[in-house]
Amino acid sequence: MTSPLMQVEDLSISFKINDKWCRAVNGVTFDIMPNETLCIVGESGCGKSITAMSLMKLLPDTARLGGHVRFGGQDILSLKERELEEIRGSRIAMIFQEPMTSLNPVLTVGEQIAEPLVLHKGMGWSEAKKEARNLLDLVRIPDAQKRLGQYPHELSGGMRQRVMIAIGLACRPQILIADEPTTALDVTIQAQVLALLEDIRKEQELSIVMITHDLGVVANVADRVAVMYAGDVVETGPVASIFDSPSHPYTQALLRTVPRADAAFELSPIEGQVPSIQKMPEGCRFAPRCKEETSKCNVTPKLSPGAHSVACWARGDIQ
Amino acid sequence: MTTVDTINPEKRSTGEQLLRLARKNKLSTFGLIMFLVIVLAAIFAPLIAPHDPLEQNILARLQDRSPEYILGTDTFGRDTFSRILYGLRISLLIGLTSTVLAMILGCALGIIAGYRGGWIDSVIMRCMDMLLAFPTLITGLFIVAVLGANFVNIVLAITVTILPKFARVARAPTIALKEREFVEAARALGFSDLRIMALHIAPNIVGEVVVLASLWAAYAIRIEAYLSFIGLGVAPPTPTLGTMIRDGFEHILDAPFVSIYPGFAVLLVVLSLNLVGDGLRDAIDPKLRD
Amino acid sequence: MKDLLVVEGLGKTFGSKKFLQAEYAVTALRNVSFTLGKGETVGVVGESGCGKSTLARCVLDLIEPTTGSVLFDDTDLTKLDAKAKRDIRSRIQMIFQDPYSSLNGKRTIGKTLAEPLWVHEGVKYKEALPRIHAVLKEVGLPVSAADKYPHEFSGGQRQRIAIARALILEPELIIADEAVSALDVSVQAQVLLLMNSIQKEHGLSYLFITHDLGVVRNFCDRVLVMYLGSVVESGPVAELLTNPKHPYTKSLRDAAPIPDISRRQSLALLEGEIPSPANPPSGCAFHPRCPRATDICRSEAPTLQSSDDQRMFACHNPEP
Repeated sequence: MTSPLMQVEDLSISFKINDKWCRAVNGVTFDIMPNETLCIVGESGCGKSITAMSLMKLLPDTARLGGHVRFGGQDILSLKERELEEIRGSRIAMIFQEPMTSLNPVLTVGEQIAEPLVLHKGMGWSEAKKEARNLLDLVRIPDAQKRLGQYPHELSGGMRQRVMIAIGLACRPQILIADEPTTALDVTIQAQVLALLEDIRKEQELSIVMITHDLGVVANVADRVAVMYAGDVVETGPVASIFDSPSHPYTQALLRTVPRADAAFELSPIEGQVPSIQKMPEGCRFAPRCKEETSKCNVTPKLSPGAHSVACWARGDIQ
Repeated sequence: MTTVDTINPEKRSTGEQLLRLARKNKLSTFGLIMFLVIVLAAIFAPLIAPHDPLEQNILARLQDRSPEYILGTDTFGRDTFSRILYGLRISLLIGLTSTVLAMILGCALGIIAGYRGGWIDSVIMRCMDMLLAFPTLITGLFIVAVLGANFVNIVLAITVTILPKFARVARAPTIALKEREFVEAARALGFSDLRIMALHIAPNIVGEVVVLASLWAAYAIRIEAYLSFIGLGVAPPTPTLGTMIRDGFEHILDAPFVSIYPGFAVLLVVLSLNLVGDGLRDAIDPKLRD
Repeated sequence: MKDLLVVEGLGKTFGSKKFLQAEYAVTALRNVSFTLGKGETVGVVGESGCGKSTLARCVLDLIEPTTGSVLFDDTDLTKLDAKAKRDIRSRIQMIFQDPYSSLNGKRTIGKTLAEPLWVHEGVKYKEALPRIHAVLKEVGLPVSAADKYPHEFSGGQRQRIAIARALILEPELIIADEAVSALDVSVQAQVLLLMNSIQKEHGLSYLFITHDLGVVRNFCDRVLVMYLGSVVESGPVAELLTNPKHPYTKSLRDAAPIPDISRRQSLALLEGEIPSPANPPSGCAFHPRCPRATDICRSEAPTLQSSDDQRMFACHNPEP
């Protein structure tokens, strides 16, 4: 068995709101294996985005971090800003949801792709430009030479996201973190970008951590899945097992709320609201909305051992 | 970050918010207190003033500070302190009236220009640009010179000179708000344009405008002083700060204090309003709020 | 069944002829016709730039259409004067996509709900309160919500408030523009079910604008599929999605990811980008991306034809 590329252990993130520390992420543990796509899925407010940011320690100083993010024999969370800069963009890269705002409007596409190469790999600008051309070919942008000299506003949304991916891949990172990379795109363009990411992952042998709220996307790209709710990972496992036999009441309920294009069925919503970060329930945070709430649920359940693990008191074999 | 969206800040009353603000921005609080003291002094001038501001005492001309005349006397032996108190009344009245007038008219024009767009926008804004193109003082001078120097005309002159600034400030956010869905929703509900502008757009820009109003009130008071200084202010013997500075100017070498004390009063008013304005701007800028 | 809404040949061209500026014209909507019966839900689906939002705004006359007519209950909305237009808006309401920007943040929920009653019926706030409370209860919110401000509510709750505002004048038609797109799936299902039960209760009709075929499949009776300003296919939802005639409908269906592991690897790839409405391709607007395109598609735009009494499609080489 291969060893994990990155190990996230008991990660917790708190913010101070109105002089009170609120735990937005509540002791999350998962591994990232080499050459796999891990999907972190959840609704807004579940902490999936800040979890992803913390993998590169890209959080504001006001956040209080706990736990460990082990990567290449180091703990990312204990590194200094200077050491982090060497890792960010070069060994771990990130792409964001909104490709318009994450590209600099006054620099050409070529300059923006070349910049990390100059910075991290010490290339000269002309060499970096040549490499940028190759990267545009890699993300299948037609007319690469012409595109290099263009500005972000001259590109469509799908093209901009491809440019973002090219920038992310520039230094051949081991891990690419993609935060809702296709949410802002039209569905036919989304399908293209997802297929592109999948092909690149295979070619480049990198690991992708994809943050998404869309279970349809998860079913189509993930190797493994971590389902998050209100700052907890409630269920994690191989994608087939999660979709064929979802175990946590939240995962089960979530799957019943997604309207599907291929069949009409009775939608059954999850009653109530995602709790506010300032008023998190004690114990299992899903309990107030759960149909299977037990007397034990006022204590936080731990993830059960095994490949497909679940954190729920109503699911027998856990402590 | 997605989490931030779901945080509902606990609602605080306006009073509480002001208190928190006061604690954070001590300089502005100081400015506000100073301004309130000045306003109160002007309102209660008849009670505070030790002398009649028009009473002349030829025997005590151009005196420096003394227990009898706290801030000395002017060419005609009138008590400078009493005259400053009464002068503040006129200056504040002119300054604040014209600012409020300019704010209301300027915002109305700016909102209409921004909301309607097209040729209405072009006509209104080009007129505003024309007014802005002249130096403020020249515009004011021209109006007062043509219409004559009295209270109403001076207010009018100052209003016209600062009105285009308000129009510009109101227009920009209106254009942004017009695209917001709640304005479209209001149209979908069959509300009239007038209603949408007055009840849905105006309250959303009032914060930004009030900040500028406090800064420009200081400016208006300065313009009033300028106009009085060059002899286009309210007719003598009514004391205004500008007239007092001018009257003392003849004796600037032998009795500088005659000009300096009223000048200092202008400085205090302008300074206090600027401090208040800066504080308000910080309070309204969401980037500086916690 | 008598049709509540009959849209005939609706078209919209945005243009500009400003002084010292280049003239431009963008056709956002091209010859769109459809009907909407009482108590029926018609979906309009398509990707960005397909004109679905322009269509919604033209029907409500928030944008003035360039050509065509909108008959609502036998009245042509495009021919009314401003006053009559505003009056008819109490019978057609709209729900917007973004529940954060569609409510005025400076007003309490009660005031927001009372305003249409005041404008259209002259009802004062105090007299309107019973109706405000009733409509809040109907959308599943506590009566106390009336005294709160929008920022005190979550996205799903705000969308309920937007529904309450649309409902308070007891309209006959509600136009929902991506009304559930900004919501989390668990909340989205709540709102869809709420809209369903309101429809049954009041006999409302919905014109439902969305990009999500899953929502269409589960919420609409009939659907119009739009591409670059034109309707390319229309018909009853289940039939249209199981057996699409237009290649675009088929690609759209197959590109929508389905949360089902057995359907993996089947995200069909449609090559190329959505063309700009300012510079549409010749002939059939879809031909540069179409796997079935032939010579005729490049030169001649297909017209809508019907395969049976319910289905219409515009394609030279329809799917079998």
